[in-house]
Formats: sequence, structure tokens, C-alpha cells
Amino acid sequence: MTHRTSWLLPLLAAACSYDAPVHPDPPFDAELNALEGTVVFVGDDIGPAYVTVYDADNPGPPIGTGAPVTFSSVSPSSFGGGAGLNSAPFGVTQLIDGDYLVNALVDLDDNFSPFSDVLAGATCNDWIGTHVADLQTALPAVVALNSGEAKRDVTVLVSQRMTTNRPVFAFKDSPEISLSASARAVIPLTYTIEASAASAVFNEDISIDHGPACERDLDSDACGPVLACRPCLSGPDVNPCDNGITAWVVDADNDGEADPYPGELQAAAGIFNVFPRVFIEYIGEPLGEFRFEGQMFPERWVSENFPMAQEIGIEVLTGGSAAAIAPIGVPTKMQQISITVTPIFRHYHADGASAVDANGPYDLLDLRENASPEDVPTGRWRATLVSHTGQTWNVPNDIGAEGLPTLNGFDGNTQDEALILVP
Amino acid sequence: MSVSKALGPLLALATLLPSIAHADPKDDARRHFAAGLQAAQGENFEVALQRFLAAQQAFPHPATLYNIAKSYTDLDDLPNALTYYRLFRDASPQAAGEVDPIIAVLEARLGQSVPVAGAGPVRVVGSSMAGPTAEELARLQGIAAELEALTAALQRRGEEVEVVPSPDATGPDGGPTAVPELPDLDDGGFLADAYERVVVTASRVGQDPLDSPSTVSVLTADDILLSGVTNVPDLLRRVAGVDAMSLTSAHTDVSIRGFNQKLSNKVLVLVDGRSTYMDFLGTSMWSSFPIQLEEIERIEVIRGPGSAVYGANAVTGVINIITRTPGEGQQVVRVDGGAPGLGRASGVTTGRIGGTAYRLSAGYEQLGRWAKETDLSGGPDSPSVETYFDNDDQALRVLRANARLDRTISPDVAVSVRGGLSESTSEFYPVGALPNYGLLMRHSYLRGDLFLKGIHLRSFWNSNSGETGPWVRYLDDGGSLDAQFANNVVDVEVETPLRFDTGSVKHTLNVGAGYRYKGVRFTYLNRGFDNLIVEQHGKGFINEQLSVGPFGAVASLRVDLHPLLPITETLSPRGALLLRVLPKTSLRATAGSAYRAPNSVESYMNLRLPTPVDGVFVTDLGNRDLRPERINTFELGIHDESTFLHTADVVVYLNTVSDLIFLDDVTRGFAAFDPVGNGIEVGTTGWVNLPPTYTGVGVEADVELFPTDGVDLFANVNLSQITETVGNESQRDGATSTIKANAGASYRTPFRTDLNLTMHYLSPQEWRLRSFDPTTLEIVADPQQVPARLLASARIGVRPFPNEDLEIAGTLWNIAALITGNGSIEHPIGQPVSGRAFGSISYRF
Repeated sequence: MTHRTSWLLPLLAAACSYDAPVHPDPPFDAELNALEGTVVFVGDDIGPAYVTVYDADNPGPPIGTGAPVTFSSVSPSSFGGGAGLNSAPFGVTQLIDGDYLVNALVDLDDNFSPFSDVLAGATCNDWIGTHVADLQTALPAVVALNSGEAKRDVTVLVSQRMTTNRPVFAFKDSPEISLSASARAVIPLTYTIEASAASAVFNEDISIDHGPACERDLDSDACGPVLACRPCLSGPDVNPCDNGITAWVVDADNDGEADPYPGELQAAAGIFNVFPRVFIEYIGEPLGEFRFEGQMFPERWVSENFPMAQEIGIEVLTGGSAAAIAPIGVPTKMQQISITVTPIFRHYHADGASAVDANGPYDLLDLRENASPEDVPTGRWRATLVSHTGQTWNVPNDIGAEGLPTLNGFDGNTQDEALILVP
Repeated sequence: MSVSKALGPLLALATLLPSIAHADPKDDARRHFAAGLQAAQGENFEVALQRFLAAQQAFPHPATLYNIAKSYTDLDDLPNALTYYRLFRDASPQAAGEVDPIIAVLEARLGQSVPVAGAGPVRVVGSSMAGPTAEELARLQGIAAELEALTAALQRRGEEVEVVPSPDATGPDGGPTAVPELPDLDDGGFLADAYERVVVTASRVGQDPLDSPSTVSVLTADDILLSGVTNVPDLLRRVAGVDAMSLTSAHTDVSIRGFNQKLSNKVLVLVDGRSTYMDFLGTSMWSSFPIQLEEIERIEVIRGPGSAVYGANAVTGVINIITRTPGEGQQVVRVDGGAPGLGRASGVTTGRIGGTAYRLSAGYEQLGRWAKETDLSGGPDSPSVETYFDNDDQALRVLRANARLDRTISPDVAVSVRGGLSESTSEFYPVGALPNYGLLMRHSYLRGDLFLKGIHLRSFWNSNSGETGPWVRYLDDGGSLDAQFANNVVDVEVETPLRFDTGSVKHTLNVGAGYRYKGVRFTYLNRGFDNLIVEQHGKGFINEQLSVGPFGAVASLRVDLHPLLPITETLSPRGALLLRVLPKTSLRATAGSAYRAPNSVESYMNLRLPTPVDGVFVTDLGNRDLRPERINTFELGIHDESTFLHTADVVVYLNTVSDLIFLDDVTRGFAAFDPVGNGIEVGTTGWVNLPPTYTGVGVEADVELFPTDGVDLFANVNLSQITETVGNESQRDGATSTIKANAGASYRTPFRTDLNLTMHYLSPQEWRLRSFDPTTLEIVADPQQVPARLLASARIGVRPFPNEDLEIAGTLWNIAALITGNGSIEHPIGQPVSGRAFGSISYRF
């Protein structure tokens, strides 16, 4: 080796043996996880599929009230198969460490949108399903993700066809609930909602803002102003389903008696397992956010209400037997049901001391015992109905907020009404 | 013992050994030449001779050869006078007709014959002198030794004795070397024009910086060599008002007087006058330039608008990289290696074959990444992510080759053909909220120049093609942001620089016109990669510079025909008034306007931007109704070269910038599933002209000192503030540092050892990054801090052998980061800038 070339080798070695340091605060969080797998769809018609991922501790309707933490979509063109069984790959990314439930929806009528509360759910004729451990048992399975891993082979079986519409409703009268009265009442106050023929209207026409059917193209005038141009719409024709609220007094053991609510406290209070579930949430003044265990949560006031106490002849919170006014064990279309306001509220906030759930720490305020009506915010509250299929509807909603015109006889203004709580 | 006492003897020694020490040799030569002229005017020819010899040794120049000959003549040393007249004639063959008679007279007096000029390199040796007396022999032996040293110096400086055209004579845009003007030999006196500073970028013609209508900074080849930088942007950090911002090891964004951003788009970067601006992205990719550092002659940095001369995109300044004239300089082979992952090898050869001068170069470069997002080798067995390139540790790998051929056919006709190509893989940050990207890029260019009786016809073709996509992506992302691109630009231009007088008024008039074709195919644009988007542009410009005694004025106007812009929005005027308050001191007032045309992304984009939710995207649409970004500038400056020991600039400027182009808020819609985008379009966004007006005020002070041979000092400071105004509300735009200061020193010691120290300081910045908030669907501007930073670098170079062919150097770049292991960020989402420690071996022959 010459004197000169001996200098070269250390230089080249230094250049070639380099291992870049890991960024101390990377803009891209590579610790996030991903999952991928296959959507298996049992059906002949194909539409876009949406794979929704829920926190296993905060499942979505009808099991819980959680919202998906994220979702991904699957193009109809990616489905392959035939003879009533189609499958397509999917992937979901950017998931923090945790346990997840994975559901899917095949949107045959092409009216799903996650950014409108009246579109973010399955409508009649859509198909839903969940990730199952295996296709034989079809039992929901939890997916655990940790440390930037990609979990593969997640199978989501979509096999349940929606035969009902969402529980579209309006308040029968503009309901005003007195918290003081509710606290004093032995039988809590009620309000009434009624189903509407609007469900079919929305199934068919809610995509009114989709604009002309065209591929977005800056060189084409077909779409008018480019910023107003919308993607093409396509999808199979579907038949509108009957409208109404599907009420179901669950009798899973077929003993002819209503089953107790699947929650010890509620069951002890004599509450039966009845659908739809009803929740009300304060939507008056903005409440802000709080941080808990590294996560940001919105401050919330929530209360679960109970339907059909009058119809099935029970006294909510005081116990009693279900009467045969409503059929037990048989999902039944109803045009009007009563809702009983229970004077028990959960206040999710940073200093909540009663308990912690997926929405953060909360205080439990019972107006009959440890709280006064002044402790609860008054004003506008939103009511949400969750049917046994997991379909939901809430009032007020985007229709009211958007001020959409009356459609096919349905008064859109009713969708801007709120439950009013007064002291 | 105090430091000053300890250093005293060393400093004294240094001042005693100036004759072979140079920092920037040209500055040393300039100083000696001026001192020689002054001595000659005082008829102190001995001193004049010594000064001219020192100048010639520092940096060879034909005029210096002549003045040496003249000094010998005046000292009645005719043999030496003859020798140097012959050298002058060989260096300036065009002067043969006038110098040959002198040579003939001297030969006759000394009884020598006339050698054949231009037969090859002149080797000046003592034996070529005939008939010396014993006294003369001793004298000639001394001369021979001196000339041997001269020859060695010439070789070391990369200058063949046979051809010594002034580097300053390089054409305005790096065209073939302009035919040097014949020196005025009629007066029998000394030549006064040598080592003149010439800049070409401000007005497209060579001019004294004292006459420049814009503020010009010049970085020389020696600045590159002594600083140890491995890329041009790092060298530009030292220029007052220039902000070089590195987000990755491979990609640095350069701005002038503020407004820096990812994919900086307001500075026009030229290589020999050829635009490197990638119109489809609106930036220049420095690492794709096919030239080697070793073939750069100098870099001119114009601060202030340049659209009046160069058209669109020269908004806040112009950077012109001027390469060496073919046939000049030495062959160079250089190898660098070190950390982080730095490897570099380059070679440049130059010479002449017959009447054709050539320069060829090739090289390889690689740089390690400053940081990576995750260690895939140490993660889970089934990681959720993958990287764009298999090598996750390397930020840059590039192969380059470049060639240039020049031929002077006649005094009125010269041609130049050049071309180059590069293929690189690199890491960069695109605009908006997009993460760091990997880029595989192939760049090539071909250029031809014809100089015909004062008319310059120039044409070039630039081609950029390749693939790009997020550096890190989830395995099941499907490559939704992966893209292909192919961009071709053909530019043809003709101009006629004219010099004439009307009475006592001297005019330099430059008139030109041209055509540019742009074709781009890019996945992100409308209809995707398969759609060729073509734009055809026209241009016309006029630049008149006149002078009457100490007064000067410049008026420039350019208009571009742009397919998407009305002609009224491309008009770019510039005017300047100059006053030579002293022979080497000028005052200047300049007003000008420039614009940046919307780039292809801003005009034609049609991209589905992913959001943090996989099934949702936002469509980003181009806008063909955009107005160009516009800057209006007024500046007052003083440029001083009143001694040969310094140059100084002080500039005060006022900029008003309007119609900046950025992404708009998202227009929300109730969209359904989009089968093409495979998701739900939550809304659309697009490129819009922002309503604020930005007012930038600043002062730049810049001084360079050449106190003694071998020592160069520089320091500059830039104070600036940019204010954003909407209606009656104003707030400071903190993304530009209020204070930017640079300082450095170079010392080429007498011991074949060079030392260099450079420091850059920038005060803290507060960026308000505009990003998309998927929860609100709005573009939000979150304030984010970039702390103050000091970047210091040092280099030592040693030439161990007396012939100085071989140099071994060590460079420490960003020393603080090397010591602490923690680099500073230069952009809120940029990677920490690591230090570099590397060694270099170069061989010049």
C-alpha cells in the first residue's frame, strides 16, 4: 500500500459505515401502528366499503356509544370473488398502541359520509359486519397493536344486511324539561319523539350536494366552477325501507319477560334492556377540552334516558314489571315513543372523581341525591337514538344546521330543535 | 505571558514572509499590482518590478507580464525585459502585432532570433538566454530561478503559461471566453487594467461592481476551496442577506432578504446564465447540478429583484454560478470521506486540442441522513412502515458528469457546446404539510452558444425526470402520494450587447428576445402523469446603462409573454442612479420590481391529499387565475474599494411583497365515495393569492479585508424585519431572523498550510406554518420556534510536497454539533443539522 492510498481507506470507511441516528422528535410518528386484512362481503351487489376501527374500551353502537377512532375505505373495484362472496384488501394506519375492534360497512346506496351526522352510518340495504376471530364462529375479536407494528390478516366479515332505516325522529312537541321537577319527581318527566317519513327522503336524496357526475378535471367545463366540482357518484339502485323507530324489548332467553338492562346499576334500578338506547348531551355553550393521561378529551355533560317506560308500563328507577303494551322480544316499528329523563348526569372533565371510562374521568351527579339542578348546565341538549342494529339518529343535526329546505314533505326545521333543560 | 505577546513573534514572522502566501490570490495580486503602478508612476521601477513580480506570482495575468517587461526595460535589464515581452506575447497572441516590434528591437539589440510564438507551453529556463556576461549570467540565473518559481506558481494556480486569458473575461453568462481587448501599447506606459473586479449577473454584461445597479457579492473558487464546503448552498451562508436553510442533509433552501420556505421559490439560480429553476416545482435542486465544485470559477449573488434582467422568479435575488473557462486551470482529482456518511470523489480535466478548449468533469457524492424516523432494523418483526429507498441512512447519492467545448473560430465568431447529466437519490421536504420525500431524479442539459459579430445566440434544453414519494409510509398506504415527473424546458435567446458613445455619454445597451418551451408531466397535476402540459413563453428585454463622468444611470425593462398571465403583470422595470463620489467609491439608488409566476403545481395541481384518516382525502386543485407574486424594492447602497486592502458594501432596502401564493382553507362538502381516490373527499383546497402585504426593511453591511499576503478577513451583518399587514392590522413575520451575521478568516501560511475559520449566526425565528387541521378542515398557522443558531466551521489544508500538487485537508463543519452531538434545527420541521468531520485528498496536475 502506498503512502497516499493509505489515507483513502479510513475516509471511505467512515463514509460507508454510517448509521443515521433516530430523530429525537420525528415529525412522522413511526411508532404508530397499522393493521391490514380482508373485507369479506356476503352479497351480490358491491359498493364502497368502510372499515371502521373502535377503541375496544369504547365500542360503537349498539354495544356502546363510542365513535370510530379512524376508518379507511375500500373501492368497489377492488372486490374480487363472485357467487355471493366477495373480498377485498384493506389497510388502516396511524393507530396508537391499544386494543381495537374492527367493523365494516358496505355502502350500497352510496350515501355514507363521515363528516355529516346524518350520513355517517348505515342506512337501509347497507351491509355491516365485524372482525371475527374466524369465519366459523363469527365472534368479534379484539386486535392488539403495539410499538409500530403492522397486524395483518385481519378479516372483517360483512354479512348483516340492514333491513331497517335509521331511527329518524323529531320531537313531538318542543320539549322543555325542568331539572327541579325532574329531581323532585318520583316518576321522572318524559318527552316524546316520533318517527318520520323523512328516513326514505334522506336515503334517496341526502347527497343533494354531490354536484354533477364527472371526473374532476381542470380542463373540463362540465363541472362548472372547479372548486364546486364533485366526484362521480354511482351505485346500485336500492329499495327504500319502511320508516319508523324500531323498538325492541329484548328477551334473549325467550322466557316471555323483558331482560334486565346489561348494566348492574341500571338493572338494579329496574331498567329493562330496551332499544333504542337514548342519550342526551349538552350542546349549549362550548365547554372546552382537557388532557388526561396524555390524551385530549372534550368536556361533556351526558345523560342516558330510557324509552318506552310508559309504553311497557314500568317505573324507571323505581322498579316494576313490563306490561304487555309493547311486544316483548319482537322488534316492532313504532311511530311514536316516550322517553323518560333520568336525573342522573355524567360530567366528563379533568377533575372528574367518580370514575373513568373511555371518555375520560367524570363526576356522577344524581339530582335526587348529591347534586342540585344548578349544577347541571341548562339550555340546548341533543338527543341521540341508537337502534339495536347500531343505526343512530340525533336531533339537532346537520340538516337543521345547514338549514336545508323541506324535502318531500319533511320539515327540515324540526331537525334543528333541541331538548331544552331549564333549572 | 499574554496572548498578544505570544502571538507577536508569529505575527511578525507572518508579515516577513508574504511573498508566497495567499488567501485569495487574486486579491493579493490586485494589491501588489496597484502598488506596482503607484511605484512606476513615481519612477521607482525597482519597487514596481518587485510588486509586479509578486502580483504575477500570486495570480498570473498578461498585463502583469507586460508591466514586468516594462519595468525591466526601464531598469535597462533588456534580457529579462525580452523574456517577459515574449511571455506576454504568448499569453496574449492577439497583441502580437503590437508587441512583436518591441521584441524584434530587443532581440536585435541582444542578437537573438525570434522564436515561434504559440508553438507550445513556454518553458522559461536560463539556458534560453544567449550571450550573457558573467555578471549577466549571475543575474539571469537569478531570473531563471525566479521564473522557475513563477512556472511552479503558474502550475499551482492552474494556469498554463501558454494561455492566460483573464478569468474576468468569461462571458456574461458563461459563454465562450470573450476575445480579450488588445492592451493599449501605444503610449509606451504601464498597463493599468488587470485584476479588475468584474461582475456579469446584474446587467448581463461585464461591469465593475462600482457600476452595478444591484448589490453583488462574489464568492471565488478559493472561497470554496478554503472553506471546505462540499456544496454551494453551504458556501452561500456567508453572504450578507442570504438565508440558507437545511431541512435535510441533502436539501438546502436558499433565500435572499427573507421569505425562505420549503422548496424556496423566490431566488433564480443560474449556472453560467442557464436557469436551473424547475418550473413545475418552483425551485432549484442544488444537488442535481451536474457540475463539480472544482470547476466553479466564482459565484455571483445579486441581492434584490432581477426580473428586469432575467424575467420570472428572480424575485429577491439571482445566484449565478460561473464555471471556469475551458482550457484554464489544472486537472484536479479529489476524494473526500468522513462523517456523517460523507463520501465524495471528483475529477476535472481541462485543456486544448488544437483550437478547441475543453473541460470535462465527473464525480460521485453521498451524504448520510441527519436523522431517521425510526430504526426499522430494531423495531417489531412486522413494522407498520417502510422507507422510500432501501438505504434509510443515506440522504444523498449522486453521480454527475459535465462537459464543455469552446472554440474561437475568428475574432468575431466563437461557439460553445456543453452538456451534463446527473442521477441522484435524495431526501427533501415538499411544500405544505407533506412529510419528507425521497427523490430519484435524472437531470440532463444541453446547451449551445454562438457569438457572431457581437450577437449572442444561446439555446439550452433542461430535462428533469424521475420519481418521488414520502420517505416513510405505511406498508398499506398503497403509495397514494408516489409520483412520476418528466419536465423539459427548451430556451432560445438572442441578445446584442452594444457599447457606444454619444458625445460624452458612454452607453452600454443590451437588447434581447427569446422563446421558452415548457413541457411537464407530473402525477400530481391535472390528469396525472400521462397528460403533457405545455406552456410556451416569449420574452423581450432592454437594458441601458449610461455614464457621464462620475454619474451613471441604468434603466431596464423586461416583459414576458406568459400563457396564464396578462402581459401587464409580467412587466418588470428597474432603474438606478449611480454616483462615483470617489474613483473607487460609488453611491447607488435602485428601484425595481420583480415577480414570481405561479408554478405548475400551483396552476395545474389535481391531487388527492391524504389526511390522518385513511378513508378521507382533501383534493388540492391548481388555480389558473392566480396573480404572480410581486415584489417592489427600493434600496440605497454604497460600494467602496478605495483601498486595495478592502471592499465594503452598505445597503439599506425596503421591500413590499404582495400576492404570495399559498394553499387556501378547505371548502367542505358532503361528498360520497370517490372510486378514483378510493375514499371520501372531505373537501377541496386550492392555491390562492394571500391577502397580506409584506413589508421588509433591512440594512446589510459587508466588509472584506486583505491586510497582508495570505490573509483574508470578512464580516457582514444583516438586520431586517418583515411585517405582515392586512387592512389596518399588522404583525411581525418572524420567520426571517432579525439579525444575521457572518465572519471568517483565511490564512494561507508560508508553510504550504491553509487555515480557515467561518462562523454564521442567526437570531431566533418564529414560523407560522400553515397546515391543514383535519378536525376543523381549516388551514391553521401555528407559531413554532426555531432557536438562534451559530454554525462554525474550520478547515486545515496541507500540501506536503514542495510542488504543492497534493493537498491533504481536514474539515470540521458545524463544530458545535460535532462537540455536543446535538444540532440545531433550521426549520420547525427540519432535521437537526449535524456536524460534519471529513478529510480530503486532492491532486492537481
